Amino acid sequence: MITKSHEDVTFDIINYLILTVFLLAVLYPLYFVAIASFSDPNMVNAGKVWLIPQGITFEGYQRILDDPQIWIGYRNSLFYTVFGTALNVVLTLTAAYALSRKDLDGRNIVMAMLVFTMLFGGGLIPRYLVVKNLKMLDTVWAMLIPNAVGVWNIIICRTFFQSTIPDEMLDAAMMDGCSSSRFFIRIVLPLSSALIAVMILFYGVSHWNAFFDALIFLRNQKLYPLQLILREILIENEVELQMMEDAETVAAQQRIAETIKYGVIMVASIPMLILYPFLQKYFVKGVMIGAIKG
Amino acid sequence: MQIKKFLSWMLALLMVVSLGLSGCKQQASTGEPSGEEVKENGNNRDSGKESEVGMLGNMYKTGLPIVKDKVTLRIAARKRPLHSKEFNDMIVPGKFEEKTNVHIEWDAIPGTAWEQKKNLMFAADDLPDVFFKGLTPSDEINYGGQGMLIALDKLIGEWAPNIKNLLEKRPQVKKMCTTPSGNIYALPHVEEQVFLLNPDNFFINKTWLDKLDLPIPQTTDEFYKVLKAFKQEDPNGNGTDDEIPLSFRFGNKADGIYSLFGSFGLLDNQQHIIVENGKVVFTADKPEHKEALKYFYMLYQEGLIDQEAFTQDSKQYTAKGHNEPMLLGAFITWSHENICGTERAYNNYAFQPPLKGPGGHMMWNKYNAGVGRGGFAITSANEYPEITMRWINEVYLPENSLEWSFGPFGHNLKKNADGTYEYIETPSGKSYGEFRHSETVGSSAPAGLLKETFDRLKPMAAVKAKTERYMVYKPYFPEDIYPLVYYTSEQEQLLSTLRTDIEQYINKMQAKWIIEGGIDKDWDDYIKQLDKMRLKELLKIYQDAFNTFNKE
Amino acid sequence: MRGVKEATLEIHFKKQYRLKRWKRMKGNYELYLFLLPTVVYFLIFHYGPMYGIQIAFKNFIAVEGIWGSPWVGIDHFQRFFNSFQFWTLLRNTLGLSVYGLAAGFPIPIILALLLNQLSSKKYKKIVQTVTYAPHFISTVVLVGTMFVFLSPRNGLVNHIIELFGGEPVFFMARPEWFQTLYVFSGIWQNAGWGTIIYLASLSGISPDLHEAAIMDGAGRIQRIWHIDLPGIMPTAVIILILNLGRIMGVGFEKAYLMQTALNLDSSEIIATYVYKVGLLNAQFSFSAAVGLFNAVVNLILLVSVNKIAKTIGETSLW
Repeated sequence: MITKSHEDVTFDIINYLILTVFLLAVLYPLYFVAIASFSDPNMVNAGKVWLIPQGITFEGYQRILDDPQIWIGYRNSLFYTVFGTALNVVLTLTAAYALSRKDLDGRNIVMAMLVFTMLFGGGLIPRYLVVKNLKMLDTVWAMLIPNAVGVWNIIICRTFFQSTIPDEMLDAAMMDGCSSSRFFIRIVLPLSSALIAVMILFYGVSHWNAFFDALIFLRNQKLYPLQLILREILIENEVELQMMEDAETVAAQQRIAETIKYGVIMVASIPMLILYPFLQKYFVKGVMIGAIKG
Repeated sequence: MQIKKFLSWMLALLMVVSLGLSGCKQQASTGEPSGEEVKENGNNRDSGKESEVGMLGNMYKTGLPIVKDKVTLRIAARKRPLHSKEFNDMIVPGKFEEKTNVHIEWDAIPGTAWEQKKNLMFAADDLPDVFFKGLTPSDEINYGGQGMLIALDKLIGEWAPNIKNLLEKRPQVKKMCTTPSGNIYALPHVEEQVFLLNPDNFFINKTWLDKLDLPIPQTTDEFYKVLKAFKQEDPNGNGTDDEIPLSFRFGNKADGIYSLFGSFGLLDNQQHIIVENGKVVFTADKPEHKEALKYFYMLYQEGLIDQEAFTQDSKQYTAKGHNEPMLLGAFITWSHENICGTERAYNNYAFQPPLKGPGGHMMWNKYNAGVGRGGFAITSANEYPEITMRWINEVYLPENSLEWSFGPFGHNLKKNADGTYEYIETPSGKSYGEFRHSETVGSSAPAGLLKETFDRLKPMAAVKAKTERYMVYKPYFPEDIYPLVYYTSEQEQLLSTLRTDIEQYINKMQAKWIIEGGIDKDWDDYIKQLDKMRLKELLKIYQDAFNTFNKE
Repeated sequence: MRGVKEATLEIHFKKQYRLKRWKRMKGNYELYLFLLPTVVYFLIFHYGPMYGIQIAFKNFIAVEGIWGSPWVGIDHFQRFFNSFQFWTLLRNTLGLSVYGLAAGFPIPIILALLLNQLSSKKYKKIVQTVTYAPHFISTVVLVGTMFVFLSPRNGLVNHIIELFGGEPVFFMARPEWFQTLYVFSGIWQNAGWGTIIYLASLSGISPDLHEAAIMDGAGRIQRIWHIDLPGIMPTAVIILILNLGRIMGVGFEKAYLMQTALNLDSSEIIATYVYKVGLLNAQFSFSAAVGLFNAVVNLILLVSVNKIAKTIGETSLW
């Protein structure tokens, strides 16, 4: 409609430039991970792999493909991510919607109660005891229930509802005898696709990357998520080296870790890398974070 | 405002709750009443059926199987990435279950999670029946003292002749696993392979020496000249000055330079503690120590020490060893095969014996190896301590120990007609570590393997080389070293803070002096600083524990 | 008499108010049901375990449990405060997180604003997806790769420095580099991830505003400054406040992995110290005391920053 001003063109050029530089700065290490995943690990650690893979070997990928534990972990992680995220999103949206309603008595107290837990917690032992007493130890529930809702995400959702759902809309619906739940399902949710996309992304990624609860609450290897198995392979255990009898074993472990570590990053990141562009298209409505009170 | 009020109110409430409800001891224990009751029941049944000859309840007093009706024990053990199968699908544990009629339910805990999970199991009273390897001495003291681990002495005497025998043969081992209260809370893991005594080994590039027509250096002076030649004369022949005359991993027990301090009259180690004439001696404030650091500074200044010796991890170290062309002149490590590959290790590198220092000293570090504490412990949750003891007694039978540690006969090991044993060759495409752990719990299981047993096991090539190495260093070992002692929990608590502060500070200063020099200038301040960090208290703890150990 | 009447009236109003409130609450029972699972979850998994805080004031003995362990008052706090390295630890921890915040907080905002201006939607998508990817690289591998990239012998970074005639820098050995490396590797890893929330909130700004501004002849920079930035300001302020409320909570893993004997002067932080002293020796009480100290400092910061935000701007957490 209007020809671009001189200033705007300059801005565009600079903008493309900055973003491209940033893109390359991020891209290069990723490219490095990719080529390192099929290079000889000793070449990688000697700093010889920069632009093209050296000493090409597919041993790493072969090992990953052959390792049943990695695939079991993969399956488990997908399961935890899908069901965990579903649970998270349902609870977060409903709770945040309720908390966003100005006519809800006591909502500020509830909100304060939630925020307090961002700062103070009882520590590992009582948390473990709770899960134990609920008989959830070593079950899939331990991977889903103890992280059912995140306060941070409730704040995001609540702000979103407060700023995008006009009060008049609610009033009008109430006049027509529409109940809160109906209003939420029929009106609010369809208006919240951007928010839901963000929530799926935030919760999904945190489930996918999580390992600590699995480490604490699970003992059946068949339930281990991918990240726990990967960590186990990748982390050099310095404590163990105190026992010299195990030095040989640790060295053997390290050799395996070196062969597969970059390949494993590739394999483990794929689901989440697919998820993002897919969700991105829903980012059409604003998602904001605002005050916890009001 | 409301929220702020609420937050402060909650905080106050928490304080009140935590400060006020101190007398509610029962509350915690009501959660878990089953443990004791069940145990009592178990005991009743045991004593009630004693009429049956050779039986104690469900347990046969001798021979195999151990029990009539199958019994299940829950064992916590370290799971490694090398274990490609679950323990119960492996040959050795499987065979053992058939023999003993004891079923094992494994708590296979990933190695990186071990400490955390173990601590949590104790803290939340969610104990397995048995811990396999990986209890620390302070666990034994704390949890033994609290009754969460049971004293094993009586059980050993009654039900474990193999273990009793082993401890009688090795009074020193028995001493090391007996806590100051006089009880044994955990069996030691015994693996008497001599080469474990010196984890740090010194290698030098023989190919380069030959090329430059130099002999293996004997003194610190000659060593300096050799390194200098490595640096200047381009022995790898690629025209660039990329040789690394000396590399190591600073601060590491096996890959570090602690033994090199010996050439100046006083060895060093991670704790900076040695024993001389029955007294604990601190090393890092002695003139000999200072001399050694000056020598290293001189090497560093001339570019003879790898800059990255202070930061590299084992992967970078290994990558240097494998580099084409060769980069490493001299280096220190547990096994040169790991660093530079088998072929290069044997073709190009030679053992470098200890160097004779300016004062004529030649020394090399020896460690308390071959004995690991916390190998096997029975917890208070265990309903069948007698059965468990008989079971572990079977594991400590030499041949069974071999199988548990190195793999089953017929798969990893071979029995010869003359009573000797042999390793079966590792199939190609697998590392020895993987092969070893394919059908047994391996390094995650305790064992009782005395030198006598290893004498009957024909060594692999790698083991042979390691034993030769040991022979090189053996004459230079110190007479006494600080033994494996126990600390009381008060000592332990203080120790953990003092050690973190002091050892870290010394590490930092050593590194600084090697890289930047200035030791003479800093020395007085350094001594003062150590004093401020309560070095005296630390040494007193070491001395006290040492005295307690020797009293027994 | 009048007083009494007034009083009755007041009671009457209050009653009516309560009645009204009660009615309203009854009417909103569905909303309470919405809230119920979340509240129950927080009570069980967050408030239930809070009794565990007391072990900071006790000497935790496993067999006695949390309730039965003996009180030691503020012993553990004293031990921490009097520990030789306390001030160094505090300085390093605060330094690291303030630096991290100062550099790490604006970058995702700038990035989001710039991305939002891209005319090519495709390119925007590419940049977004690529910059988001490093979020999935585990810390262990990230740090391992840093050591390789920054090696003084053959690291890429030093090759480039030498190419331009500089002296190679031994990054991992220099205390003065530690914080920068820590912070910028963090930015590399998380800046793209951090833009998500800002991009999402930028997309909520009404196009009408921009159109009107264009009519008025406003340039791109002016529009960013006067429309986009104010549009995401509330989000940014809240994120800033919440981040300041986490300032003592610098994670242990990455710092621990990046530590070398030579950079300890700046790389030893509270979390790594506690790990060395406490966790490995099962000193739950000591760790809990340090954790409580951190939480209290965080709380104080959060409350005061919120107050400041309230006085100078309109956005605040409460």
